[in-house]
Order: sequence, then structure tokens, then C-alpha cells
Amino acid sequence: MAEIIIIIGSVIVLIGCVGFVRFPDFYSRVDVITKSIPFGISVILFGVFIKLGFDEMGIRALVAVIFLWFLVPIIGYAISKAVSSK
Amino acid sequence: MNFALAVLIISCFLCLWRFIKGPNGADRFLSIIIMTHIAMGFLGIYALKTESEFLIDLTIDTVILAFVGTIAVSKYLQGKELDE
Repeated sequence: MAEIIIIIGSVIVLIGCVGFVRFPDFYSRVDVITKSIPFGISVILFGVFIKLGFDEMGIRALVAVIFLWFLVPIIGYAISKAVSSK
Repeated sequence: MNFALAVLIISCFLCLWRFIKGPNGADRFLSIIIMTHIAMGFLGIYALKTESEFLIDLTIDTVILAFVGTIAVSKYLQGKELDE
């Protein structure tokens, strides 16, 4: 079960990186990469949490997921605003 | 699980291709940040494989370091100081 969830997350990351190579504009690249990468990596870490359970290592994986959800949209906002207001 | 590691390596090479080809400095920096987050997934899978505790601490440290570096470099791209 956990291996299937981890493989699904890595395939989501691969699809996002194909979009990061193929899209023509900078803002569309920022859009596709800041939506797909936190979703894929959080699916991978959620699979790690399912395999480990409510141990102290599994709780740390959930804390990493929460930091990822808060910080990666701020990354996309900051770098696109820096490029647009140059 | 080795299949997931192989897929993450392929996506990391796609980001490296964008790093070589990218027209701006912002594209290159964004590809480095994405490679950092892919390394975060690597650390999670290796912590599951080897049952070690400090690798799963390093995932939290990696995402915070990527955030701080992004804020500093975006201020540099605007041409401002860090405190304005």
C-alpha cells in the first residue's frame, strides 16, 4: 500500500518536471512547478507516514508536509514578483 | 520503491536540462530550488529504507533552507537590500 502511494507521488513529480521543461513562458513554468512539486512530494511523505505509523519519525514526516504546503507557494509568489517588478 | 527513486532521478535530470537551457537567471535559480525539493523526497524514501531518524529531520531542514535562500535571491533579483 505505502509503496504504491510513493510510486504515484514520484510519477506526479515526473509529470510536473516535464511541464517545467516544455512550457514556453516563465510565469507558466512557475505556475506548473509550484503546484505539482508540493503535491507530489507531500504524497511521497504521506506514504512514508503510512508505512511508519504514529511513531516519532512519522510525525516528523507530517511536519515536513505542513512546512512544504506553507513555504512553496510563498516561493512562487516571491520569485514571480521579483521578475515582474524588475 | 527503487522504481520511485529512478523516476525521481529522471525528473532531476529534466530540471538539470532546464538549468542548462534556461534563458534567465530566475529560471536557473528556480530549477535549483526544484532539485532541492526532489532531494527532499529522496531523503524521505531513504529514511524509510534505512530506518534512520536524522534523515527524516533533514527533510524539514531542507525545505526551510530552500525557503530562506529563495527570499534572499528574490531580493537580489529586484536589486534591493534585504531589509526593505
